[in-house]
Amino acid sequence: MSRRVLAVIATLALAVAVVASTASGGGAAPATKQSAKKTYKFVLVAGIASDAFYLTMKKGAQAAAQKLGNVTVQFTGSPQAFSPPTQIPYLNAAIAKKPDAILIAPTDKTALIAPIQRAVSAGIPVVTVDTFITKPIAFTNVSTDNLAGGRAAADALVKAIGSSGEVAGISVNPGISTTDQRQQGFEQELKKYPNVKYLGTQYCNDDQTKATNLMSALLAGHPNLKGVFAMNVVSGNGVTAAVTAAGKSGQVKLVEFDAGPPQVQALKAGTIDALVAQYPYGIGQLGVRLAYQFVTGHKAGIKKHYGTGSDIITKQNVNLPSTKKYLYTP
Amino acid sequence: MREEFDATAAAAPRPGRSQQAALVLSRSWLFVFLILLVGFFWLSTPSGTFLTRSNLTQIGLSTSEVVLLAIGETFVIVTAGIDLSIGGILFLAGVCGGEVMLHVSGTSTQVVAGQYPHAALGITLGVIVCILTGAVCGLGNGIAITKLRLPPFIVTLGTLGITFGLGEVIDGGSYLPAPVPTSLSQGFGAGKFLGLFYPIWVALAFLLAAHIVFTYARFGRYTRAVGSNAEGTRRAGIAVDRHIIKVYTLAGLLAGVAAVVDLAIYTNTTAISHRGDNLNAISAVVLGGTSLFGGVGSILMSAVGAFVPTVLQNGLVIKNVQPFWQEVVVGATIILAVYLDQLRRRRTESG
Repeated sequence: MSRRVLAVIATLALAVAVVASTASGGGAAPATKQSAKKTYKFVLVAGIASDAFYLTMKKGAQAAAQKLGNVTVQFTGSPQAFSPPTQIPYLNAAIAKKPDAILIAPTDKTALIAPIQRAVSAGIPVVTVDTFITKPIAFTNVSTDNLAGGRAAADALVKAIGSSGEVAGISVNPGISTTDQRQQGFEQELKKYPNVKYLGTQYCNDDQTKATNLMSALLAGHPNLKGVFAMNVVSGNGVTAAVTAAGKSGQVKLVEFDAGPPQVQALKAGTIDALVAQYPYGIGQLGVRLAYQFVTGHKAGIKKHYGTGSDIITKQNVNLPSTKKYLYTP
Repeated sequence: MREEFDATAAAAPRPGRSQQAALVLSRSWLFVFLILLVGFFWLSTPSGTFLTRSNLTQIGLSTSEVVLLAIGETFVIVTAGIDLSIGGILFLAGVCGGEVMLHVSGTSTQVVAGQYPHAALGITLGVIVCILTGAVCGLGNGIAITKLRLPPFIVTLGTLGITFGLGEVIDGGSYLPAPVPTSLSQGFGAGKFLGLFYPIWVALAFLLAAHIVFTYARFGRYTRAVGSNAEGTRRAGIAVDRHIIKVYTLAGLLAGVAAVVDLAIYTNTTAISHRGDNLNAISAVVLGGTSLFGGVGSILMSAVGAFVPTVLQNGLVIKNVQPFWQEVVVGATIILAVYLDQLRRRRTESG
């Protein structure tokens, strides 16, 4: 009996593997018709593959590839967590495939230096997208100016609270280049407003229950708290839940980074006052174009860094056509 | 005397009431610790901050999910098993239930625009799907553990991956397409009855029912018997396999209930924020004095164990303790609490 059970399980596992491999194959862009030309294979390694931001970036990258005609982009990355130990295996697998270029959103400023060096040493040019590493081994970096985004968030928050009162920040963890810069920009800009008291930033570890608890404590400990800057999506979910449960929606203003579907919903419903939206589609597009330029030998003129801008989205401009491109659509 | 439970005692009459009361009191040591913690924060923070009804109910709200998970985990750990998959089950149940809820509530354009014409039916079906998904996953765990004779650690670790993966497949790796209907989020998740949020009442109801079942009913006695001596229990004529399947199904079902609470509080669900759920639930159970080797445990104390880290975190933020020190203090306090508990146990055992 046990042998039969084993056989059934083995067959099932095989079936799942086959289905999974065919299903994942669908992600790559179709091969070009101009088969005479060389086809370039790029791999895009996301910070976390299960996030609206990176899925939008993938769309932009694949659109650029399709337009070029002889480029394919494979999207990969850990669906589980935004962290070096989960990301590095995906990068190693990408290197093993010997693509013509790798686009990667490094999950740590320093921990990804050695793994990226392996790619560069193997002769694969690397573009860092969205985040960066502190050693200049990638030939270019395409990202949102997160410092500017943090400053814009501070301005939007100060405006929302009416220029005076206490404000706080909620972030993920220190060490991530993007959220660190958002926090830095936010703190720099707040110094310009003498009537605003900054209570510091709490870290929620990307756990929304923890973010809720931190926010509840801030609300209890600081009855005059008037505004919060949530530096990523999960922090924002926790903050929104805590503020709603405390019955302080509208009284405590909330500015959040990123513009995925739930945030845009909350913005329209009035629980979020402003969103700092990045342009992931544009990051993907530009990343692929630059990689193509590099591998086809037009290396001169490629800058070390390209900023793709961000936009403040409020209830007033969310439905405008000019805002559309900043909303994330996975 | 060692607090052990053997199969023959399962069939024998229960110990006297006073004896049982003494046992309960000696086991509620962690509760005293929690009260001291609350007292400490009350005295050391400005009045009208920590010990306010609004702050305490908020703490209750953010702990309600972990309490639900910890109840199921206690049953599992008392059978000398472990369930590492409840966080994943919670996520998958939330995704399945949420998708059904949204599809039934209105067309995709309607729900994205925030309109839910058939919200009542959608919520009812969604809640049923959440709980069913949870129970089915738990049932799968139980069957794999007993019928395939695999260690619970491996089975539930596998289920953890499967559930997170399937959830991501269904929601396309991101979120539900729209928030859940407002009557669920505003009415239930942020709604109050007699001064407490509905999710807290849900957690309390399950806590009380589970405590009674665990302490006084046959189901609880069997659970302890299986955990202290599975072979002896089997020889005593109890269907051990069937009981283990029931226990894992219960843990899955409670994860499904927690998924409903999760959707109601957060209006949406993401995998990333449930990665830590298993550890939170297991540490609550261990803090509550339940032995990882099975046989002994307390449902109520697991709930108290769930509150210790939340209360600490909340109090430290109000006291303006620097974020990095908060982590240090939470970690150290957990070790201290378990050490004091061990000391007390050793003393009762030798005395």
